[in-house]
Amino acid sequence: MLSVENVSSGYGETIIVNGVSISVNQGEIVVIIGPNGCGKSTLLKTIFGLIKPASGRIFFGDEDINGLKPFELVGKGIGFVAQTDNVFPSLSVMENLEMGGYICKNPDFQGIFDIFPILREKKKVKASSLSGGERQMLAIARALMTQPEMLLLDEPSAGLSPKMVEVLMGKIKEIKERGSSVLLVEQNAKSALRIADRGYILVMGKKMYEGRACEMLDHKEIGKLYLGKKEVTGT
Amino acid sequence: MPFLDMQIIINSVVTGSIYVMIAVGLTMIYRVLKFANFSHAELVTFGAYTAYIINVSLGLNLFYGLVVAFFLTGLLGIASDRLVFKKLRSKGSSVISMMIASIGIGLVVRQSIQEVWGPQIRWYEFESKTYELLGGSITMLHIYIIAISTAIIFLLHFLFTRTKLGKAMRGVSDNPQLAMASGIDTEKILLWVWFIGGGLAGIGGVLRGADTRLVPLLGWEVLLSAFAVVILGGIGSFYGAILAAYLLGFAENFGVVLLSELSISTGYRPAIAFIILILVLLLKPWGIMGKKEEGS
Ligand SMILES: Nc1ncnc2c1ncn2[C@@H]1O[C@H](COP(=O)(O)OP(=O)(O)OP(=O)(O)O)[C@@H](O)[C@H]1O
Ligand SMILES: [Mg+2]
Repeated sequence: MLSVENVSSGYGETIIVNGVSISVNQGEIVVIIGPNGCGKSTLLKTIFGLIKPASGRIFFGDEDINGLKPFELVGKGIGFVAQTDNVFPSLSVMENLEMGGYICKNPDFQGIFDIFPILREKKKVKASSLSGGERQMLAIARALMTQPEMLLLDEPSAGLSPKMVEVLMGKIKEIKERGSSVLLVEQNAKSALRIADRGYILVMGKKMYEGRACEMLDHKEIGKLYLGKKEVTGT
Repeated sequence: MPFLDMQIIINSVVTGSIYVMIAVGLTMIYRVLKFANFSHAELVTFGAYTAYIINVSLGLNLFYGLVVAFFLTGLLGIASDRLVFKKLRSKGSSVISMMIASIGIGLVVRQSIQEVWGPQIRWYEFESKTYELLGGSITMLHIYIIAISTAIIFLLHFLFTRTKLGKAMRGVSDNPQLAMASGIDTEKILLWVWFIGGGLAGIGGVLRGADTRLVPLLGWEVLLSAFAVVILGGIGSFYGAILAAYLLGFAENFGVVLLSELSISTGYRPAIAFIILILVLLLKPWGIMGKKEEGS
């Protein structure tokens, strides 16, 4: 469904992402993990048209989406949640969702509130006064308003308590079950791999590994380097 | 208390009503584009002279002049963005370059107005009866100024809180990248910001011109006060600007009386806004309703 072919991109003259190819199939959760600064966010921003790739091609379905503006990609069914600044701070929760559904004729707020009941309670609260976890929920909910076929999430669990991370992963799984494919960048690699189908490891802008999520969880080397555990359990 | 009579209150509300129109546009543009638009002064002047054509040259009611001034000044705002600011934006120019460009645009517009109408003082043509009000006197013009301004404040409040366009304007100024990621065409929203912000400046110019007189420096004369209002209200804050406009209107009118009581020339009137501006910057740089964390 989403296929990134040999893409290089960066900022100005500096190339950060170097010839990376990844794909996400219909109904999959795919995780990208890797050390800080390896270019995960840069890759997502490139897919979403916030950065122009220096080379390579990006397809969504059969269409070459390279060069399309973010708001055009939203129209095509791609949603994006940035790592930082992913809500409108001075707008209320409800207004944030309205912005998310800006291009929809009949935005489905109830569907979103069913996934995130906490947001229904805090409808009128300004986004800037939400807790970290609530804010990430809102950020994801905002992107879900257009019912995207493909959701790009950049470290949604950053800064959350372990318990909150699990809640969030549960929500992401729920989103997949409702029919969206998800491309997820995560530092909490273990929790992410548990809900994922496949995974990629990015190191210094290059793809170092790709495989099934369950295999990655059991992989000794990966466990040691990226999952921060000597023993790796279950799927 | 010789100062606190009804006349000062009436004059203050009138002054404040005019400042609101001018400052709201200035603060809207600042909030979205993050630069101080000095050419706002000439949008004010342009609006005033546009109404002059309708009112004096064509001999129609000044009210029509007000409406036409709103539309044409709004379009001039859009034109300045399309021809200059948009180009700078797409090149990633700094806010300083934008500000300097705006001074340049202002110069061109001001000079053109001077070229067409000359430097002489002009007046609109309308009748304005005077009424007694609780010991002060108020003219029909003042009643219109206050009513128009109040109505527009309510319309803007409705725009920002109830309409999709108004909320998108707030969204774009909060976080333009996220607005884009939400499928909002931010450039289109910017056009509306220029149109409405510019149009309001035009209305402010007509009201100011009707209250005083028309000269090519009309807008330039109120620019300092408008900046004082924007900063006092907390840069980018709509409600702050409204409150600050009336506060400054009061300070100026009260100050003028104070100046003459102290036998100081009332020519120092413009200094009042300047003093307030400096005091706010020193004591409360975020203004009365501004946010401390100024996003980027
Ligand atoms: N706007 C920018 N301009 C220039 N360089 C940037 C910019 N954003 C990021 N970089 C650089 O690009 C490199 C990759 O950044 P990126 O944000 O893609 O990493 P990441 O894998 O998402 O890291 P993290 O896990 O910390 O989020 C870093 O060296 C960073 O300094
Ligand atoms: Mg990142």
